[in-house]
Amino acid sequence: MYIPGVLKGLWVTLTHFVDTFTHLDHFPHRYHPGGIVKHKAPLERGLFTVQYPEERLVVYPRFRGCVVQLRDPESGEPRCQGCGLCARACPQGTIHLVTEGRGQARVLKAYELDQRRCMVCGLCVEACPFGALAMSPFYELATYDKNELVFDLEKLLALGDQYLAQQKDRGKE
Amino acid sequence: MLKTRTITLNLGPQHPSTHGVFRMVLTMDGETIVDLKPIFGYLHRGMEKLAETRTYLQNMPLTDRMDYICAMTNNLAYAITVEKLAGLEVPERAEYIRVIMAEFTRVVNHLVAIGALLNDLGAFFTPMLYCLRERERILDLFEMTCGARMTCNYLRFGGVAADLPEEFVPQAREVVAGLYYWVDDLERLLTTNEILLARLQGIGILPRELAINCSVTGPTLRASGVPYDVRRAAPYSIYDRFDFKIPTLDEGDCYARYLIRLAEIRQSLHIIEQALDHLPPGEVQAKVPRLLRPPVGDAYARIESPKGELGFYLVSDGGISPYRFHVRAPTLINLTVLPDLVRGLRIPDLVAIIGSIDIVMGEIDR
Repeated sequence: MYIPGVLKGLWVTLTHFVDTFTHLDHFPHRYHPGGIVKHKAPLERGLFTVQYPEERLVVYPRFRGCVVQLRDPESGEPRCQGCGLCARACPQGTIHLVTEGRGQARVLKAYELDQRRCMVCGLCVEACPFGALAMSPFYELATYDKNELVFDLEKLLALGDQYLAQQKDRGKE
Repeated sequence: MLKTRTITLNLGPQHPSTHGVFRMVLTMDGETIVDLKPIFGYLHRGMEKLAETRTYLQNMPLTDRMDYICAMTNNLAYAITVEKLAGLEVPERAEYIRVIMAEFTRVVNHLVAIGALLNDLGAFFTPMLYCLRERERILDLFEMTCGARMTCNYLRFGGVAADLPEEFVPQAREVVAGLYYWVDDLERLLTTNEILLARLQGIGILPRELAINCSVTGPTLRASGVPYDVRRAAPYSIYDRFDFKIPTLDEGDCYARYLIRLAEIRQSLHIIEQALDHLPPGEVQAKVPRLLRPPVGDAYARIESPKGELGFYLVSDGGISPYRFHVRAPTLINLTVLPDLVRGLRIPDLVAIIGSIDIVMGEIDR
């Protein structure tokens, strides 16, 4: 007879169901107020699910989101010197850059990162000798037109500024 | 006696129980399976050829995408092969980190395997989501360390990409403690369940001789009574320092394969505990040239991946990219016994067998 097995299974499921109500820290609201949820600690009980668009998980500092360009905090100039090591490190051929001049006189003219092809492996960030690239925590990159995902230097720097500002806020906390 | 004609039935490629895009052409006599012809290649991405056009390091993220459930062990197998080819040393701390990550990956894989097996049997998503919830706690550890949950790209030749973050070790201990408790909970829910026993016991018996002849490896082989594990048979990395058992069962049916996976989760947790206790301080990355040019030659290295023996064969012509890149994928070879297992059974049994030998199409097709 299968009935004891069914009942036992239902009992375990029921205990787990009741378990999700043990932490009622945001009870009257359906979602966490503010919408930011911390990762559950391993032995923490309570509801495990995150109601994604209304709530978001705090990402870990090493999280690999889209690649951004950083500015030098003092001069405000882009850190990128146009050496092209990132373009050579990229497995997907995501990065294209145009430079003028050679050696010390080399100037970066254009920088393009094709976010459509990027697989966020992080090899470009590891290859950069100037610390000009970083993996940002930004992951919501959906657009209506896929051509908008080809980021030029300005867009990458703007994202980089956002990233640095976010890190500063975190440091204050 | 009435004579019946056999009919041909297509199962897949978009069938949810085939764990990806796997097609089986079944010859049916009524409800009984007479023959099975597996057809795969729907997920073929030409990885082995693609790898010849990329540098050694650029192939590391590619290996993540072969067996996408256990990226860390794929990284490990590839890194060990390149280290053998180029003669690189790995620092002690990096070796321990690699073992911790590989064993966590084994737990992740077995959780997904058990969850997916139960899903295929019709225990729709309840055990699966319990398994995925526990897996998520381990994936949090991965994300904290390397920045990604599944496509880790964490290992480097001669070490690992980054040292463990500070909070890793205490959190990993908590995860391990929680998993011990939780595996018992899963057993309470499933192991003695009458429906599970009826569906799995005595189904798809893989005889010991057939398993050896088809060079089946991993939990599927150990469930048929062969205590073969690469971690013991040819220890790589630092596996000779740990104390662990190789669980073996003689039955060889789907139920034995399910029990072996549960037992292996416990053994993996035991290894992780030992590795966390003895984790030495120090460097995690040896000095390796940025653009690796291994000397002319070839190397084959193998590891015990969660699904079986995963081997990489690399040929170097002294350049920056491999001349030949070949993968011995465990699931592809485990799949070769499938037609022999299903003859004379019915379609629901076939679904249980596929679930219990734990295939991943990303690795079979590459």
